[in-house]
Amino acid sequence: MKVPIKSISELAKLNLSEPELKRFSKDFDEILTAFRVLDRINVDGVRPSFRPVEQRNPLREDKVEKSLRQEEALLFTDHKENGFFIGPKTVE
Amino acid sequence: MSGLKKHVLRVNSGQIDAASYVNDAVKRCEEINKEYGYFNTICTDAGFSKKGKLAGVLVSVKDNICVKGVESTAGSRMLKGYRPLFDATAVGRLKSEGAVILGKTSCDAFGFGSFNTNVGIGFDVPKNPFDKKRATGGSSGGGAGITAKADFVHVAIVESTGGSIENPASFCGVVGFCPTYGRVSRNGLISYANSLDKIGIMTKSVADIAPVLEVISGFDPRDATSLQGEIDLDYRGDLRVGIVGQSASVDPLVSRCVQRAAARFGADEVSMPLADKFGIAAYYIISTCEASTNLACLSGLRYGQDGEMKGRSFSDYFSDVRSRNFNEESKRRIMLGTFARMAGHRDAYYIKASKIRTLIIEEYRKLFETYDILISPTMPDVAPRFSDIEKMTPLENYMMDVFTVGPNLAGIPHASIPVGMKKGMPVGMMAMANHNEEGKLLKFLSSVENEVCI
Repeated sequence: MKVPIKSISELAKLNLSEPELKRFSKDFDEILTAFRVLDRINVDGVRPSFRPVEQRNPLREDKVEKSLRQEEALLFTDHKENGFFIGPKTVE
Repeated sequence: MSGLKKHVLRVNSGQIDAASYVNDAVKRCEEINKEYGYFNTICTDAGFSKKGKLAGVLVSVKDNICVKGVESTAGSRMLKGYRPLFDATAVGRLKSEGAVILGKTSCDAFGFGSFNTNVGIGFDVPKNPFDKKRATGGSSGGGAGITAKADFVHVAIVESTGGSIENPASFCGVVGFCPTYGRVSRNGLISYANSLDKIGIMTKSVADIAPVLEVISGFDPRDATSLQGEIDLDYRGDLRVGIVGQSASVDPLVSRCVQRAAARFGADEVSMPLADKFGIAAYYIISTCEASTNLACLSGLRYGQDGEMKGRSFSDYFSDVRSRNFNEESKRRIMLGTFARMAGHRDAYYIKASKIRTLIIEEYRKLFETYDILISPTMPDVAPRFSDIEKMTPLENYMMDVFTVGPNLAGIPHASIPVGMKKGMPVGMMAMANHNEEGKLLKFLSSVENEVCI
């Protein structure tokens, strides 16, 4: 299988240089060939485990709890104005 | 009584001048750091306390665990400058019992590595305490190194996703303990893979683990996967031990050290064909899938590194910040996880790996019906030289985790303990117990420490 490295990098929001694209392409070939070992096992009827320990859905009372103050949340960015984060333009 | 407990009693009673003790330890860490590079940050103004179960105990914290007001980067340039506004729950609990935070220890960026050589851009690679031409192991290499070199009472708070506690503990000749998944809150841990991450402990001696584990474990409403119930560390029964046979190639001297320990405990040979054959693939698919979503929050907007936003589109801006600040392995794992979650691949990779994880958990459960403890080598060999690591492909790097991914996928408590030396380098043995049976594991580790000559 030819891995579409360029489109994966776009989805992952990573700009890769030509040498990086070549290197990752080679790495992915090797890694995914090794992962083909998974084809050798039949898992029909097996439930997936999304965590290793059985746990009930933990719910908390629906009430407001203490959280960061607005000025604290904005402490680590220069991209702010009037108490809000400024983000890049999303609509061209 | 453990060395740590004796130290606490002396601090409590004023027999030790805690202020001088802490200052001397900080100076010593600065000296060690110049030579070995174990810390990303040293807290030169570390306070001290005379009260509490861990009064005056010096604690280093892996750099992916938040300490209030202290730069916490997870070893990546992406988070350079980030000083959390809160303590991770485990750190807060340590502080409330009088522990002193010494600093933040080196790790592979976001925990992505087996040798601590995948550090972030501009970070130093730590050196093995036994041979500076060799790696500490990873990803908690700084914690393992300073645990080995510290000549003061010290505990390292570290984290494992697929072997990041056991591996460096083995390579640096210290005890590395990883509890049951959910035993220690993940609140304040900079996530690599939520369903696999566990905060644990490194010490020089087994007896020092329990007093720290008792403090940091326990239910935390801030972690949705935190376990309910008290931890019981006192086990007095007999232990039946099995040694896991593996198909992976293991250095003969490493194998001999582990076999000798196994013989001491009358271990039966058992097999785990599923973990052995499918563990690496299942682990790397699940962990990179989770990592690729977790690291999506690092976009140069709210904290960490950023860039010039004016005139740039959403995609241009985020891609630029991420591309400049993630290191190569971070990019590789984000890409691998993105690929395995893409439409058309999700069922074949992520869901299939998660089903195999179910089968591996079941494989452990069945063996624990007969055995209390399972053992294996921690790593296939001793710490490699940097010059050898440079020649390895990413897949060869991943294959080094062949023994450690199983217990991490299953979320069972496990630990590495030194059981021998190979040409001056330490050899670690991994011991595993069933979920919530940390007491059995500690009893076994204590027996190994007392009865197996190194």
